[in-house]
Amino acid sequence: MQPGTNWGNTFDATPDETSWGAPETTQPMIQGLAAKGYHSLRLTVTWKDHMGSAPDYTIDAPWMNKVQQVVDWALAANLYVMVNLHHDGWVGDMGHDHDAVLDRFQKVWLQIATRFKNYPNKLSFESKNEPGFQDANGKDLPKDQMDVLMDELNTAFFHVVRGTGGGNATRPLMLPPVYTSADQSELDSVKATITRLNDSNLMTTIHYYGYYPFSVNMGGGTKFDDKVRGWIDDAFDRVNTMFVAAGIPVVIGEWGLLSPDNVERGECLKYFEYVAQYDRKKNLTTMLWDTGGFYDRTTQDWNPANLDLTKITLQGEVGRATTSESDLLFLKPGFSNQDIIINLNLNGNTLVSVQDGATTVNPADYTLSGNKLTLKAKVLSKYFTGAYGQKTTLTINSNSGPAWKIFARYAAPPVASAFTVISGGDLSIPTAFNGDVLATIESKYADGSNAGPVGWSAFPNWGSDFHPDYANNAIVLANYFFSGAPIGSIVNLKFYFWSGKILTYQIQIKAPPTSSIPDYVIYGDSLAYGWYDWGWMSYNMSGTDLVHSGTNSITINPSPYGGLAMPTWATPDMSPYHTLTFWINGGTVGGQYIGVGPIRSDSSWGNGTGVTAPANTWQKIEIPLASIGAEGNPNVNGFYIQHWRGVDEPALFIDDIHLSANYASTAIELAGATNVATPLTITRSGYTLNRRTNRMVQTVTVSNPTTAAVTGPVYLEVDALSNNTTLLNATGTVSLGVPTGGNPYVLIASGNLASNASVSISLEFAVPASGSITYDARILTGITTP
Amino acid sequence: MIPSLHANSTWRVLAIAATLVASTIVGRAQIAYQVWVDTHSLIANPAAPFSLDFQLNDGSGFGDSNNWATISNIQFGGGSVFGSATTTGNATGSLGSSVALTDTDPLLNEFYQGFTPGSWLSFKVTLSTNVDSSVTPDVFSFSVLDSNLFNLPTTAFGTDAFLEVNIDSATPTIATYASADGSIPAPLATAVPEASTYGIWAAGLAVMAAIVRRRRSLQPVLQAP
Repeated sequence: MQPGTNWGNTFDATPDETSWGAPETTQPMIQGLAAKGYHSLRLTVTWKDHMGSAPDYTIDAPWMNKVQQVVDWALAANLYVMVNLHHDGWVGDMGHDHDAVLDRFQKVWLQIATRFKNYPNKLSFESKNEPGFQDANGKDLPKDQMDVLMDELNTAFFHVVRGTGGGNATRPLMLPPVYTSADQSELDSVKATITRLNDSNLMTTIHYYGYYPFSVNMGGGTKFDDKVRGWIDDAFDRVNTMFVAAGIPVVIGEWGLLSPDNVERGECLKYFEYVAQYDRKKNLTTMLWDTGGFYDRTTQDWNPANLDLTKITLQGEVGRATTSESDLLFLKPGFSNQDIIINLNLNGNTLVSVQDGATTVNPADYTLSGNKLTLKAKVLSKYFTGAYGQKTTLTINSNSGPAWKIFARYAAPPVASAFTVISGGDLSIPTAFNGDVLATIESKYADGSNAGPVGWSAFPNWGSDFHPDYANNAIVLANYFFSGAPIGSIVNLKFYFWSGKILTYQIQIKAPPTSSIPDYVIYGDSLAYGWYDWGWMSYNMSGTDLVHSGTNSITINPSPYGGLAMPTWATPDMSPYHTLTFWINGGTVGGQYIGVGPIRSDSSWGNGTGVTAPANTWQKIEIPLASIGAEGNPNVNGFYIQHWRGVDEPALFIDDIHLSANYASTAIELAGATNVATPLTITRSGYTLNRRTNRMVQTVTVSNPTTAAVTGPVYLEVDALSNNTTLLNATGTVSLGVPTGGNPYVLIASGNLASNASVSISLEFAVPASGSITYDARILTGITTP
Repeated sequence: MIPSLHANSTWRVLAIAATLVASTIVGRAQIAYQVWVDTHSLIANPAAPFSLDFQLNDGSGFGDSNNWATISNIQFGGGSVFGSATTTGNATGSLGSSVALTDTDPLLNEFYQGFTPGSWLSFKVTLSTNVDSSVTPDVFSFSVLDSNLFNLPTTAFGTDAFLEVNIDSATPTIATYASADGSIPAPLATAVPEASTYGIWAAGLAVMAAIVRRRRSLQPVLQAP
């Protein structure tokens, strides 16, 4: 069956095949897939929108026919094919509506099994995708209860399918553990089910999306490091031992990364290569999760945007691919006369050639020792000039597998500068990247506890919580990043770059200034002069049913996505104002959901903020103008209110719409500046060769020039160490998965460092073959494990 | 006129004094030390033969050749030099005459050569003191190697050097260390003025002496009633 792939976001999409953007499936698409070398296809199908009601739950004939059609095409293309229940979330209701759900489940599978009763055994069934079970409030049941229900569901599935006879009597059936998880308790449970059923054509299936922080790039998980590898090894080793070794096939029904675009490309490539080759070693069958990113159904060819990922994954299915410690190489100004060392992962391959762009590098200009590739200085010296940024692509060609690309960037240390802003919109910290590439950020309060939006980690989510804006020279933090930070607190940020550089930055959280400028009243008991209304839902600008103040309010009868616009031709000077305020009352029911946003002078609407109306009470709503792009924006000349649900809802009431010159009560002032993370000073000696130890030795003295003791333990971290050497007397390596993770550190003092005290230690480095030893020294204090 | 004459002589004294100060400042571009090492414990030591090892290593990362060291006036207190020199980077010379090092190689500029120990050895090291702008200074070191070309252990921090100068200022500190077993005391390093400094000092002193003589000869006239 290997290799296999998913027909993702297609028949599993709701409500229909093309609802999530996939093209309608055709036979040439399936034939093209098979021609690419795939041997199996997981046809994920969501049935809930294509079936009748109880008691028969009759599946719509067109839907069943289309599924059957695609199965036929796949079998005709000599593919193994799997069919399942995918986003049929109703199955989870078995946790609180047991009998009805089980009845429905059995009737659905009875129809599917009957339709495919006489199909060959290259067709298999999977009882349910990622099954879980919830209580009446939608909350997951305890694990042990879910295991019981899982056993019952899988058993019912088994008996229903087998009971239809024909080819189904011996059809391969996949029984998943709860959530197709590789957790040991879930595997134990499904193993017990399979053992009890005692059928030689049963398989199990898990899904694998990797170590979560790496999979989405948060929690400091930026690198494909030993921890990420360890998780793969552990999961695959266990399922191999438990199932494969016992004669029970295991299908990795889905695998990949949850947010591959958030993961640095080279790290992403290394992950896919490793998973593909390790599942092969462990005799697991894998179904890559693909929604068109790998195989482009429209062109019936590989998607060029991910050709590198596709090639390295396919290589993993037959061997190993060559990679390197990083696919980013940083050329530091002033070091053009030094040889460049690149730590390759040849993975058993043989180096054939090296290219600089399209030019093949003269073999006399590089050497390979083990995995260490040394390029003579002259190969890249021409790139140590001009603008910072990517200068060339080095291509490492091996005897097997795709070429490995290394992107050489001319880069100086990045610099962040000060800023002050009132929260509301995203926060852009001015940053001169100078050719470097941001990896992640860390956010902690002054006492060392985690700050920022995640809570359990100091490292926020790449993309949603923060992102680099290289075009505008800024590191952008989401507008909610500091929403939980108390007034008066200090947040220490670290910006980690792929070069190994770390910028320390500090944000002071302050109360915003107040203003005595009176509110601009848009609506009191009627719209102010110059403002007018129009809309496409029922509303009354002079309602009297519920009034917050005065005599009137706006009554809105929300119809599906109905709206009310309040533009102005008076063009008032809105520049002094920071907040749009109004009062809302949801009447006796409440819960209505509306969006409020700006109308621009070109009549377009800007993004709005969602507001839920409370029941039987007036609530003041404050919308920072910055959060809707209206702060100081002369092109805003009005506001809209839109019902954001596709159903009718009871009347709601809005009153006293103002523009306030004060900031929202939740607003904070953020003052950022670069920060010296520690008061300790570091003094280095020169490097002396000790021929007895055969090490280059340097004495480093750490001093506390302040009048207060610095809390220990105190460590010296060696960052961005030139790759021509290693630190041989390190106490340990940093455990974080950030670019500086794995860097060596040395314990300076196990306790506090007293005022005016100094500690000297010697750093002992392996003697480089050539070039100087360089590194960035960083002090870590007050933490148990660096 | 007398007061002006007096003033002229005062200015002249100040000018000469300034010259002397200037000569001192000029002298700060380099330093010189006479180094004396008690080597009697190495006589008949089974770890023989021994070598003297000198290094001048770059801190800039580039091998910027901005500092040099000269080891001269090498004496062995009854011992002698033998064999030929081994060098790495920019190092030349012989223990039989003098040794020159420049921090041209970004990693290692080293000279070592065998010697037969006498009761003591001494040499003069002259070292330029141009400070690198990098966080790591250039460093000069002196070590003794055994028959395996291993450093004799010393109390220096990991380097097993007997003498180290980190060129972190125009007048850097010279640090000396004893052998780890105490058999070789820390070398005695005595600052010696540079020849060029001597010359300027001498010239300045000569002028000063002449002025003093002249002022003394004038004094009776000036003091005449």
